[in-house]
Amino acid sequence: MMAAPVDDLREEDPRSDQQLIAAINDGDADAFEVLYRRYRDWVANLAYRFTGDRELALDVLQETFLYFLRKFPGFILTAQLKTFLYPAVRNLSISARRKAGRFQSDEKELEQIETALTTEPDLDRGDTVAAALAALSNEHREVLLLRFVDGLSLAEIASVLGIPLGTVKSRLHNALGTLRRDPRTKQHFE
Amino acid sequence: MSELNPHTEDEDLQAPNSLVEALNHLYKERVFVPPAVDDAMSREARKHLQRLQRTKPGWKPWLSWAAMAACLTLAIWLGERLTRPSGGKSFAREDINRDGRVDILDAFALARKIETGGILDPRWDMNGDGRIDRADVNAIAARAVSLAQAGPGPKRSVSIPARSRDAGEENVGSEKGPVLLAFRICCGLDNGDRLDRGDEPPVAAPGIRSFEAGGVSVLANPEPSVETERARTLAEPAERKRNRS
Repeated sequence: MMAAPVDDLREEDPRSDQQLIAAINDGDADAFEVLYRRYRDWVANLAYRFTGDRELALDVLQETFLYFLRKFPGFILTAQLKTFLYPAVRNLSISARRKAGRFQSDEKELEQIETALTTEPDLDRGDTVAAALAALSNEHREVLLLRFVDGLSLAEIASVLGIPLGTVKSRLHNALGTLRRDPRTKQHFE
Repeated sequence: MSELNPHTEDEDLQAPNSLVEALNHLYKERVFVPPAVDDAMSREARKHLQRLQRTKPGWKPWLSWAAMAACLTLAIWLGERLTRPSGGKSFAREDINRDGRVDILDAFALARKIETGGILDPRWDMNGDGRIDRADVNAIAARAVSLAQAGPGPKRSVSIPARSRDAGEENVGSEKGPVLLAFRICCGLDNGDRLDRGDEPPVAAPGIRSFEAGGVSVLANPEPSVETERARTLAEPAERKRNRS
């Protein structure tokens, strides 16, 4: 196993995602490991957001990066790597849940899990943001999280979700409006 | 319906920093990834990418060169084969129509080429006089007849009516058979005066390759062809004359 300082070095690799992908296309396994470290936690947490199960999230993490690995050689990155990984994580999460058989496999169930996670009380902060998020519709919450938690641009969200940019803007506007009116999150807008 | 409202101003779409912080705190670091998972991924990546590195420089240039050489060889071979008129087979020079045997049809084919002014192969100068003319047609026809005489296989013969046989014996002689005569008339190489004297060309039964006429074995066309039919048609007036008498 690699030591922590090595991990740090890899995470701080100055090369961009594009450059690392070019190196992987040339067979550089270290470059792949740098990318893995860079996106590992984001993928794991996203998978957990979709599955609601830590073990399943770890399975999805591995499946996602194996899927990514099999794209080499010949993979070309045309946008942010998250826009490639997000649909993979989402679909693999649905598949993992189906295999696990713990829940129904349709997407509504997936969204219910996401909602349930959102409503988990944050005892450390005593925050009510989670409760306010649970009040949002699934579409609005997903766009809001992609924008402010996952850090995707509006165009990337449109690409990831396969919806028009105008729809993304509309959903985000409505989500923020709901939170602005919600007494539990109103103070953030004042 | 609210989703249809246009919102083009991105300022409306900004969240306060405190809200963003709260959201990130809510979803921060929920899953711990054990080192075993990292190890497994690292192993898989190295295995996959090393396999690519091993195969990449080795086979690609070699395979492309080999494929190119194979294509070139195939193209040369095909080109040579297709440009050869015989398609690779060799034929006797008397075999004008290249059907694999020398028979009366070759003589007819050469006669037709001479008459129509078709392309003449210098090899068709059978008698070596420097010209391709009727004499060469005769030579091929004679060759066709003599081949039938000298054939190694068992000859099939068909009985000819006595009248015809007598006529054949009487008239064939050095011309080696009435089929040749009929052929020559057909090709315009003879004026047919022998037929006018009452000669009747013997005709082989359908499907018979050779038959006896005038003491020699004569090749006949296996299937009745246009040429044979034409020769027969020319010979018919003599038969009708005989019947009338």
